[in-house]
Amino acid sequence: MIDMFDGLYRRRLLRDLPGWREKGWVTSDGATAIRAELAAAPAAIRAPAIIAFLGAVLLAFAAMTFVAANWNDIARPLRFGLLAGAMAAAYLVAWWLMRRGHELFADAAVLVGTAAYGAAIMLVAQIYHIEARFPDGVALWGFGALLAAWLLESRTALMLAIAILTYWSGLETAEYGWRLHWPFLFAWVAFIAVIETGWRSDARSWPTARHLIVLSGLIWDAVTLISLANQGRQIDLAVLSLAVPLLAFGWALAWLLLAARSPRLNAYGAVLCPYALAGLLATLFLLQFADDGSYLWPWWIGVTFTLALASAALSLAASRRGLLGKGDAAAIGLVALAALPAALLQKWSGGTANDVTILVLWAVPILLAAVWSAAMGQQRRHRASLTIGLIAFGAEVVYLYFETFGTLLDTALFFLLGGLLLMALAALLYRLHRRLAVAAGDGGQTGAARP
Amino acid sequence: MIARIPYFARILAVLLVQLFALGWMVFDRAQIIERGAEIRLPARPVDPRDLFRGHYVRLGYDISQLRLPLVGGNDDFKRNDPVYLLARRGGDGRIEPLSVHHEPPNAGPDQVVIAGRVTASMENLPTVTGSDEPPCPTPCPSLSVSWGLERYFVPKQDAKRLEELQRAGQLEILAAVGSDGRVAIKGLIVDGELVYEEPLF
Repeated sequence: MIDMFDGLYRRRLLRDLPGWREKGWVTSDGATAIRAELAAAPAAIRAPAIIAFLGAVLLAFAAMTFVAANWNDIARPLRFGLLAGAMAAAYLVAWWLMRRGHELFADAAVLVGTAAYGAAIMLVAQIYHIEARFPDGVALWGFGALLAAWLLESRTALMLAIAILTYWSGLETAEYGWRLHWPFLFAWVAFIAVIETGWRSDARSWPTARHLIVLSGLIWDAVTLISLANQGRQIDLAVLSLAVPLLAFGWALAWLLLAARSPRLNAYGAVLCPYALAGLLATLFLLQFADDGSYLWPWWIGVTFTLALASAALSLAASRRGLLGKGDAAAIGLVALAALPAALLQKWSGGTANDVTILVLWAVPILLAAVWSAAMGQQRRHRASLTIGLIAFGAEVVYLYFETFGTLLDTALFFLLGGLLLMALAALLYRLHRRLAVAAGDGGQTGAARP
Repeated sequence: MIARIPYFARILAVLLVQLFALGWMVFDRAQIIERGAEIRLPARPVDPRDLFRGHYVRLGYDISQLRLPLVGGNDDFKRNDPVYLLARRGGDGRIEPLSVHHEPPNAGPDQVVIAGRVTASMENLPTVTGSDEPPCPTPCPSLSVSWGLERYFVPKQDAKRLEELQRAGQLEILAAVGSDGRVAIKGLIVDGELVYEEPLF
């Protein structure tokens, strides 16, 4: 089947030959010899081979359909054997493909094997009437996938393992009563251990893995925070608003990792930084909509200040290496406190505060934080920060427009003005982005500071 | 590092570990059936028309709905909470519920602990007509519990015979209770006679 690509290669070679001759890479005798060799090889597609292959596929489908239709009538040990056989077949194909040197296809076969393992768990439970806790089955699948990812250096198995185990933790937290599902942290550390210690260095350089790991950690943080804030019918906004200083701390940590000497830590810092910043601004934006809760936890103000100080401290440490300025350290400390003004007013006024005041107390920190992010992105040549800042700024302006003018104006007029405003905003942000991104784009990517 | 081990050995290792996990699932359940204490539970088919005819039979039991004021023990359960039923076990295997708990209680002689999961918690559950249960003071907080016995499949060759038997008489489930409270269906009893026994593997 792989030989099918020979035809494409042959045509490409014939197209390239004249150009090579002109450049003098190939002598005229050489070109003639190459053409002769290509002409001698059979150029026609081997029809019998393709027909045989299609026939094999049909037979495989026939076998699968037959098994599926008579599944319940097959004896139980034989059913187990069929599932085991399917898994073994997939892994055997993976080994065979790897022997032929087709690494990507082998990886795909490992994915099929791991998926077959998951299906087998479910079907075995059905065959033998095993009624266990559903998340336990998910965990069994996930850790099996992680084992395959580690031993076989399989990227697809690792993606599957990270997705399954993150879902496992979310399931346990949301449906099965866990408030803070700490067993997930073992899995998370295992993810890092798999790629940083188990894999060969060229496999390790797959950047998506670190993105998935960081994302998985952030998702767990979000789910856990929401779970801790859940007080039955009410939401403890104090706990929920802690997301802001926590993400600010994460951002500062990312810069500290970027400033570290080890390139591996740098890589994690580079991945964490934009996610933390985007999460921070998104959380601030979303918190504006949270009004079905109260600020219950008594220590949240203290913890917020502590985290803000810690963020500033970490940023100062990063600034020693020239990646950030002292101003940025102060700024992140203040951004960590951005959720406080509106929250404090709501808490002390006991829900009687003026809506407009609350709106302003949210809008000002958000807009300032967005502007800071964009400015810092431009100054530090960090394109992601610039984009995130501009998007956040635009989103907040649109929200403010809806909130302030939505009730005052007639519907048609509202939409007219809204449309004009959006277009003007888009044009402005686009030109701003172009101008700043051009300046940020000179001289490289993340982190290089200009004195 | 890992790459130094031959690929075939690594593939084999992954396959064997995953197969072992599957085999352990089966073995674990076989242990319950083989070693667990036997109990008998009168079963009500939830969908009597399809009894033994379709792929799965759905079964309900007296202990599928627990009225908390009538059963002693803890009373603050939420959905998906584990629940442990302490019951007295008679010589013939029939059980009498004593109390429900959040954690597995210590079982005395002639007592079993059965582990289940709350599927729903509600109030004022209507009583089953014809049952001789004492009335439950309103509101009557109740739990729907899944014990792992609610679905069952019988092979096609036995289905017809069992359906005829069931129509003729009263169906009871023979179950085995493991030491940690987990239960598994061991066999079917109609009119006091064991008519079907679950194979180990």
